[in-house]
Amino acid sequence: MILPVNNQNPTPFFSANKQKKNEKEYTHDTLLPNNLSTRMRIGMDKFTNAITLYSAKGFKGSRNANFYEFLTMGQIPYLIGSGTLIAVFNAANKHYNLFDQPSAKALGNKMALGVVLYGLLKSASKPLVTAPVHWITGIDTERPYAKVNYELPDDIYDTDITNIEYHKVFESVDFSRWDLLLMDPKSGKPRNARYDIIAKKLGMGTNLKDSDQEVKPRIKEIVEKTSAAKSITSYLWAAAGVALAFQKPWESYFNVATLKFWDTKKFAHSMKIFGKSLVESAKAMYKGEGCKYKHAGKFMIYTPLAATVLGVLNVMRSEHKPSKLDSADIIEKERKYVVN
Amino acid sequence: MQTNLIQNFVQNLKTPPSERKTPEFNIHHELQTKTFIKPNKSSGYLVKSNIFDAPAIMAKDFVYDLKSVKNGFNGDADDHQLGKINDVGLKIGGLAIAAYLYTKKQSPMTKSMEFIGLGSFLASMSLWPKLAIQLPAYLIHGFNVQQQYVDSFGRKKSFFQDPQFLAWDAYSDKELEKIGDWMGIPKDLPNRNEFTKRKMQKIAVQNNTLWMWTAGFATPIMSALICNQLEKPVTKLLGRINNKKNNQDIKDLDALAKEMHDNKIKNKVSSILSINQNKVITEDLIEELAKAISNGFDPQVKESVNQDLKKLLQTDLYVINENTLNAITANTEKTLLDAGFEKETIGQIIPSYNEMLKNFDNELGFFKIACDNEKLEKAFTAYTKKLYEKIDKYNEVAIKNPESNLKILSKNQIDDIKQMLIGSEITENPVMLGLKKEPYAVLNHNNQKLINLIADAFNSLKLNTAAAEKFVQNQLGCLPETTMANYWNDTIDTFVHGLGLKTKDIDLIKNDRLLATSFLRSSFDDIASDKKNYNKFMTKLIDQIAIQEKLMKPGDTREIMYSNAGNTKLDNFIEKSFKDFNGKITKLPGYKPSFMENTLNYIIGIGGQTFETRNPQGSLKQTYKDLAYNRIAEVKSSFFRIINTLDLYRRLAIGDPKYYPALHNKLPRALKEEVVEISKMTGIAGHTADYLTKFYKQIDPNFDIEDLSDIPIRNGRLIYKYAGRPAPTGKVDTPQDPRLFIESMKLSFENKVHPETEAAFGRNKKLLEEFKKYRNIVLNDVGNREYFENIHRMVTEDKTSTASDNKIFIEVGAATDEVLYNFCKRTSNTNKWLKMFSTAGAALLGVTIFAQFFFGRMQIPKPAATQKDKKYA
Repeated sequence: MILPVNNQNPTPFFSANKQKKNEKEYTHDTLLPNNLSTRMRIGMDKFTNAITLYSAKGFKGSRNANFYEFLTMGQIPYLIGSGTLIAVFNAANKHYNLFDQPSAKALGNKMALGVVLYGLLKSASKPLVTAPVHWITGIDTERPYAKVNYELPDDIYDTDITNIEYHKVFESVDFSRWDLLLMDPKSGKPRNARYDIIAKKLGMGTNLKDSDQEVKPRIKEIVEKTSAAKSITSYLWAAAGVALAFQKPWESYFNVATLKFWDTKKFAHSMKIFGKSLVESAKAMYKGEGCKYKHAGKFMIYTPLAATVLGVLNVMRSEHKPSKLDSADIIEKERKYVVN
Repeated sequence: MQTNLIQNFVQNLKTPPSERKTPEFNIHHELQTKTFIKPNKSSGYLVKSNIFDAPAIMAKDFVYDLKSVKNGFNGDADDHQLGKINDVGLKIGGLAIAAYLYTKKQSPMTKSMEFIGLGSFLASMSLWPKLAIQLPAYLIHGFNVQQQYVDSFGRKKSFFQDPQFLAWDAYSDKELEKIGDWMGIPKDLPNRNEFTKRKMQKIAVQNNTLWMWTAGFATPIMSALICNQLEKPVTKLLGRINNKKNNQDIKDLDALAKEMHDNKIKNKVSSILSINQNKVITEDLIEELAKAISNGFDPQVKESVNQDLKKLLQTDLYVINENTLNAITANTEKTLLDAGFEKETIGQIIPSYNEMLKNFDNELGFFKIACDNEKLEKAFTAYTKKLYEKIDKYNEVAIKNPESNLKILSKNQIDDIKQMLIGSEITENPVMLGLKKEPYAVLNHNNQKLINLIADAFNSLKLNTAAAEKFVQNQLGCLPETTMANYWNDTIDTFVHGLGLKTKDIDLIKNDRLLATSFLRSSFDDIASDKKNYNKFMTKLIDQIAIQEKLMKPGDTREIMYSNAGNTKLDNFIEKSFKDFNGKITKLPGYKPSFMENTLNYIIGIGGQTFETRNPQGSLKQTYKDLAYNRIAEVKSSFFRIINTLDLYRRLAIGDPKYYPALHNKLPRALKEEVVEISKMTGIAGHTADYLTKFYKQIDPNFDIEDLSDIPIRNGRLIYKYAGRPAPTGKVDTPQDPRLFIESMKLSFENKVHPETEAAFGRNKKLLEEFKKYRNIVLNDVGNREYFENIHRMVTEDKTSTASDNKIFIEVGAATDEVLYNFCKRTSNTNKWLKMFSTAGAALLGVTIFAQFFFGRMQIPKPAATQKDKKYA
């Protein structure tokens, strides 16, 4: 990429702190900690950008629009679709005959809860695979980083040509950002410190000469297996969420449900009933109440559970064996090599 | 001067083509500049498919998806394959949801809709961008914004998904030129194809964004609309499949019974027997066995079996166990309490559980063994002895401690107690009754064999009755796709369509049943007042009603109220099943006429010793037969009622007294009008209760009895003089005047059917006969039914109806206004929903297409100014 000669705003500022606003948070691709606050900040940043900046760029057909923005906008149909699906089963209910309204409302409420639980369990279930993999192997497949992206200026006055994208180190298995896992020399730690830990956890030994080269094939394999397991199990958990929402005990919660948290008494009561209904519904699902096949509920619970366990166990299984050869042995000393 | 193009062409044509020189190749120069190092030629290509290729492409994609999952599982997948695994997960999750909800639904129709819902959702996800984005964009801009291509590695991708990395090599120059032509890009534009590419990129980015913003609204709406539209055809299709299956099933119900594979009764009984073999048969065990044997039958069967088992397993021996001890205590306590002794005193004097146990077990050794009467008497004596000792002890304590609250028992009181316990009849003696609570019998080999044989008989009967139930349910049940439900819906649709019901009427009527009554009254008057209209309406309706015989062959199933059909296959099967059961019971070892008498009385019938001589009235056998009879008769009655009411309206609308002799010359005009009004209204809105209470109606008691004139008719409408007008002295009921009820019943059900109505039956002569029989039955059963308040109101004086409430309920059928009201409620809900979401869907589609006309707007670059242009500028 041809980088711009200068991406600093040439216009001088004379008032105090004015320039600070234009300072970018990141000046180069930066590895970020994988913690709740960072994840929430990234999620919020992506969401607000998806519905504002990226959509505006998209509708204008900006030549700087890219795949990351397209993918980020992918959450829009999810959110709108969830709302529309709820509306499809609820919006017309008030126009129905009075005698039909309760049954329509009960179904609509269950459908709405199903949509919410689908989304919640789909997201919440992913760490069930990624967290054990992280603990066992030391590989954080979800590790985020901030990417500084350079764009073409829209016009000659457009000097702010960088933007920040939030990616994951292993979001592409073909082009993983291995470089970001190398330690900064300023940190005082060995360059391959992170890879050393992984190698140790994977049982590949310690004090490896090139731990990064040794563990990369294993990491790639683990990331792929984790990703596959995560994709399949998250939808199975989401399905279990829908099944849970369709249990009869929820109806007692729907009768008192309120989102008016400022009415503390009612809200607290509704939350209490929510908890009770959740427990009762889980029991009803497990026992197969209201199902023709009484094991259907158990199947919906045990399938994602088993898939998750198998998914994690599969990650542990590896056909890649660590190389026993020293790199010096691989190089044929008689041959001439040219190093550019 | 203008250039002569033709001249130029001829000139060029004459010029011989110049020889192509081999370009000079300087190896040193090439090495220095490395221009010979070029990327491999791309082998990617655009996917060009049509609808006929779709199955092959789908199959290929499916195989690729499976391969992706396999590679993902083995840790050997690339980015593209990992993306595919996500799609597979989405589909698996969707299938899991549909499968689970399938198990929660009752009917095949609702079960099918779960999978149709999933299919339509996935189809909508794919169809929306194709229909609303790809197609309009292609027509407007001349290229496919959702174009797919296969890259050099054979991976199928969306061409425009990443606008920064577009594989333009896949487009030929010719294709780009063609697209440029469609876009109206000037042909002389330098680097025209580059501009076309930039424009394509811009349009694709805009369309992708539009897709993201519209898909969330469109997919659920489109999916719901697809499901809504598919509901009716799916119901019809399932109905046809179901009907075909029913026609097969009825041919061999024995085979259907075998398919049930339900041995719950045998298994459950066998399990109970294996746990309790050679143990004492207690009441609880008999209860448990009766419950297992009658599994799947109504509670009365269990009760009968329970009583019979007790008798079957009865001996002259008894067992003293925990239940016995509790029973003795409870009986003695109750007796003494009833005699006025205080509870505290009773607690002090009667032997405790442990004392009894010590007596019966440790001292006598009678606990949990078979006891004959002699042993029971010893136990009785031991108990009473203990009780007397306790009385003495109690009195001693009470005398020694006068400060305590204990009341000393007087001699008389003690004698009373003795009298109650010793002197009473053995059948009333509380202690002896307790001792005889548990008859002693052991679950020995013979008993086990007997119970197993009974269980086997019940198991076979259950399989057969379950097969009959299944057949009846599939053919006549209330589920949406049964033959009867489809027939009912089609007939009501024909009826309502003929009434000319409009959407606004539906919206109004769904709010109140009375509005349905009013609508029907007005519609029936309109139809009846016009001969052509009446004949057309009736012919169509009757033809539709007559379809029933084609759908449900009288030889297979039938009703017995109106038709004269003989025994059906269903009847024969039920008869045979119960006869088999009866045979198995009568062949039990040691059978005698009183064997399982309660059970046989309830299941087969009472009043005889053989299967044939038992009266089936009220038996379980008859209940199974009535399942089909009643259901068909209810539906027929409801449809006959509509025909009958319309016939009444028609007879009255013509205005010829020969069609309504019930309104004879001796009937005052005021009563004539009331009779007409009652008949018209009950025909539309009357329930069973209205008929049974003899049309309770308040009228003016001081009506003009001299006015015997006929009711005049104008344009097919009767002109009332009295009815509906306020009475100066108020209105009252006239329970002793039977005319109102009698003449109304005669007018509705006795006066002959109008020839036009008969003609409307056309070739359906059999149905006409049934209709006439229906009228006659209703007239006799309902018209001659006694009502405790108005006992004299009967159509004929010499005949009293013995029809049961249930039979009358079936004869009266569904009130027509209620049928219409329910139809409107159901239709209005669907209409409202459909209107709301089809409008939203149409608006979304409109906005999505309209927006695309504004996409891809770019300034055509101006050609760079030449020196010449600058000179003259």
